[in-house]
Amino acid sequence: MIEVTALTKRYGKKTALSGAGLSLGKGIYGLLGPNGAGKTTLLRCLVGVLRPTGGTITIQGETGYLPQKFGVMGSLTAYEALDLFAELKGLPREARREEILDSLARVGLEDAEKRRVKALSGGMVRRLGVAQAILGDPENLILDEPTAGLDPEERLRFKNLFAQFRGRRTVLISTHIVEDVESLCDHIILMNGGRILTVATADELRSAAQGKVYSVPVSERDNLQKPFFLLRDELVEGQERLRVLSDVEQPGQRIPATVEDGYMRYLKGAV
Amino acid sequence: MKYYGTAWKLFLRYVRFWAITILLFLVTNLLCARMFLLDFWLNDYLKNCDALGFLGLTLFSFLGYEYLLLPETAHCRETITAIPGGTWKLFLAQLAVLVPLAGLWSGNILVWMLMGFPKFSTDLSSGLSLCCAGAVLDLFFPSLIGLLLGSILALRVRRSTAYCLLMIFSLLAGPVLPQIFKDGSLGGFSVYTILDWFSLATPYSSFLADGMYLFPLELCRWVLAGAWLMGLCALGAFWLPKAKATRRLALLFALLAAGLAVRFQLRGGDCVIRRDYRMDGAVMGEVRYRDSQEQPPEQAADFTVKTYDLDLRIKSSLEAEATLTLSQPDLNVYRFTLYHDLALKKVTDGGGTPLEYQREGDYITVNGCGDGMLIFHYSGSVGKYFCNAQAICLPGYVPYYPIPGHISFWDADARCVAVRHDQMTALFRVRVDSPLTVYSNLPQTDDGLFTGETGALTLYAGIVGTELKGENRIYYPILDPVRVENLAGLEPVWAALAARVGETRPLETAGKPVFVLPFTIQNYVSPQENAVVLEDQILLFQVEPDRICRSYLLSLLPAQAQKEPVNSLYLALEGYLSNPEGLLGPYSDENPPKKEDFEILLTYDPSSADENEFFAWSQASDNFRYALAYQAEKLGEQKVLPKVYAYLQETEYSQDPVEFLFTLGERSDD
Repeated sequence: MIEVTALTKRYGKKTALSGAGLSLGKGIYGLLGPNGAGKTTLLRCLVGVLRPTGGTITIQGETGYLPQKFGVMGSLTAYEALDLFAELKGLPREARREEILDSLARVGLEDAEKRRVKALSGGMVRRLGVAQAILGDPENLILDEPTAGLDPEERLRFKNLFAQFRGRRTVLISTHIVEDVESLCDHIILMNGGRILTVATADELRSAAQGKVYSVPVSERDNLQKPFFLLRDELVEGQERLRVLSDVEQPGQRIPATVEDGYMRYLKGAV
Repeated sequence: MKYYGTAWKLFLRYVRFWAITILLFLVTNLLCARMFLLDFWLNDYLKNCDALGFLGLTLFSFLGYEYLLLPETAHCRETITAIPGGTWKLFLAQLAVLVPLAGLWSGNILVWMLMGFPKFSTDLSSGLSLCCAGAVLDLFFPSLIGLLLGSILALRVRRSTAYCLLMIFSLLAGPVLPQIFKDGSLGGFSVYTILDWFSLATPYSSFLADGMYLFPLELCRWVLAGAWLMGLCALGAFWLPKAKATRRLALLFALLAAGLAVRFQLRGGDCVIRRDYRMDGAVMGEVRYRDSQEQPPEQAADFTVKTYDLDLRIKSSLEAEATLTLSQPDLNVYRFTLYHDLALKKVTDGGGTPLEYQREGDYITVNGCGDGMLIFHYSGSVGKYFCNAQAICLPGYVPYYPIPGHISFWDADARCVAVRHDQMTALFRVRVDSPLTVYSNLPQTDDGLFTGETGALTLYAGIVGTELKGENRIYYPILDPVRVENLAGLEPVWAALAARVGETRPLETAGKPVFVLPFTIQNYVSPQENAVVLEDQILLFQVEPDRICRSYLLSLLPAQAQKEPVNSLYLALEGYLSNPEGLLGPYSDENPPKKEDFEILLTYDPSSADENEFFAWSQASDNFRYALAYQAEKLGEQKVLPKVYAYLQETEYSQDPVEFLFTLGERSDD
């Protein structure tokens, strides 16, 4: 369980986190927000890498952490690298080997046990990072963009892995990829400008934009009523159309909202 | 330490770490082997080995930085920081790899040092403890400080910045800057104000170590190393991820560092770091001080001291209480001489009542004495003469206790120490509180207690040995090359020298203790100080009969022989006698010396800023001994030298020295 109250982090005059409050129980939480929203700062404060300027953090149980940029000494083998983290985490020597092999197997690196880290691919190193995070079966898992740079197959593997923790552990995943959050997370935490905008389920996010998303033919571009927010140009049944988010009636047709639409709705406010 | 294995694994898996280590050991052993084979004297050999501390300081700082930077370069610092205590655990484990390496490296050099003792046929026990202490202070501590600095920088500082800082640190701690700024001055600013704080390895100076003192291991140097270690520990604890306990630890280290830094700043006279070329140091500072002082006139004492009761506590410096019983208790003023760096705290009568006194440099004038007894309380160091817990070398002619009268200790013309040969004898009772075994010209009557009559009390301790040669007991620095056996040849050499100049007085050495002074106090030494033969002792730098006899001969000449302009002939005689070949320099029958070339010796004004005049005087002064040699060659040494010697003994000079030398031929048949 993770409890955060009025968390603030300032770097000089710049405020990276502004009075963030959260209460996370067991489940998988997706932390969603644009670049510079304060996601990484929040996670770093949670795991103790950064010292908050204000507020309180209460974490029950141990925490496994995968930073955004994970690496390990290239001259060690995958096993030795995990052994180093296991030692630092204070895992008992007698249980350590079994624990390490189990972690390697869970991330699909059982064959890489004796391979040097520098010989592993980027995706494998990322998986090794997850393996070190889950070492010791911590109560909480905090993962900063665990699927960034991974191919679809590896992303799927990760999603399956994290799905195993649903209901048993508190898992907080920061990501840019809305699709990952939608399919994996029980709750979505939206952040922007160092603030937490909302904590909602995927359905709640969709509902927030329901009836406000329009598919507009490109030819109607000049007839769009302000205010509106152009989500993107997209091809629908071979025709180029505009996906528009707006509180006012627009030409074209209303379409069902997605999680991403809801996310944008929160991000942009009333449009 | 359970993380130790992994830290070692990390160290060994990276070629650059063990390659630097192997290189360090290889270079060190090659240098030691070279010194072992080539150095001529044990003292030089030990000093050179000890100076390798700078190498350790530099290489371990870079090694520490690179090794501790590993989590950063491998991009796992954040992961480790997120593990509670992870950074601390890994940091300490990595240090636990490097610290024994620094210890091993220091031990390696220590073994080389100790191997020097049998090579130079010297008893190992004489220097074992000092070598071990030197290895800790000058080799291990600098390495430790270097690697701590590098390791701590690795926590926060980028490589380019860290390398710059480490290079600046090495430069400040190294031997280069003291050699560039020899006198320690840079546009009026004393660079040693900064450099002293970095003198972690052996301080650079040819004046520092001799066979009596070996390495400078004064308390202040341990304090400096402690201040650096504590300061770096504080910085480390402050920079590592914080918990309440580490904040307290950082504060504790910082307080300790600050305390030690203050103690170092207040090091005062316990510091041999100052024995280098700096203008305000223990060596050059003496000349500078004397040059800047108007020498007050000498005044003989109109009283005598019947007894001296000296309580001397010699630890980091001299702390003294001197009780003097005077022959005339009814005088209004009593004049004394006491070395100027010894701070006089108070003067009291026998009942403890403070008395008024005036002090001007070495001279003290006390108003009255009441009950015929004066007690002087003073402390400090005695210039270039050793006086601390590591060595004591206080020759009797140095006024480190109150001497009756205003007697000059400094020859302003020759810019060197003036040796007194006419001391008043008194009964001494001297208690010396020192961790060392102290020797004296007085007999030892109890542990640390010397009692007897003398005119000059000499105290001597350090890495010294003693040997009985014939009727003389010789005290000498064991690690210096001292040829004790040469003392046997003294009498025939004196007989020959005395005959050359017509001196009839004997050189009496029988039964006198001989103190061989360490060579580092030979700076600004006067010809007489080379070998001082007193009533009850002999003090000399080398057991060389020629030099001893020459110095003794010159000491028989009156003080005015050393004053300008007669001084030029005095120096010419000294130069001629010390040059047995009688070289004629630029002169020959075709090119004889001309009297007018030496007129400048009579007219030169030392206060003149004219450089050309100075060089002309200097040239004339050098050539004057060749002129003497020419005269001796032409007229016969047996005629010239006795006349020159007799001239120098005159109390009032009938001729100037140039006139005298050039009219010797006309007077040769007198």
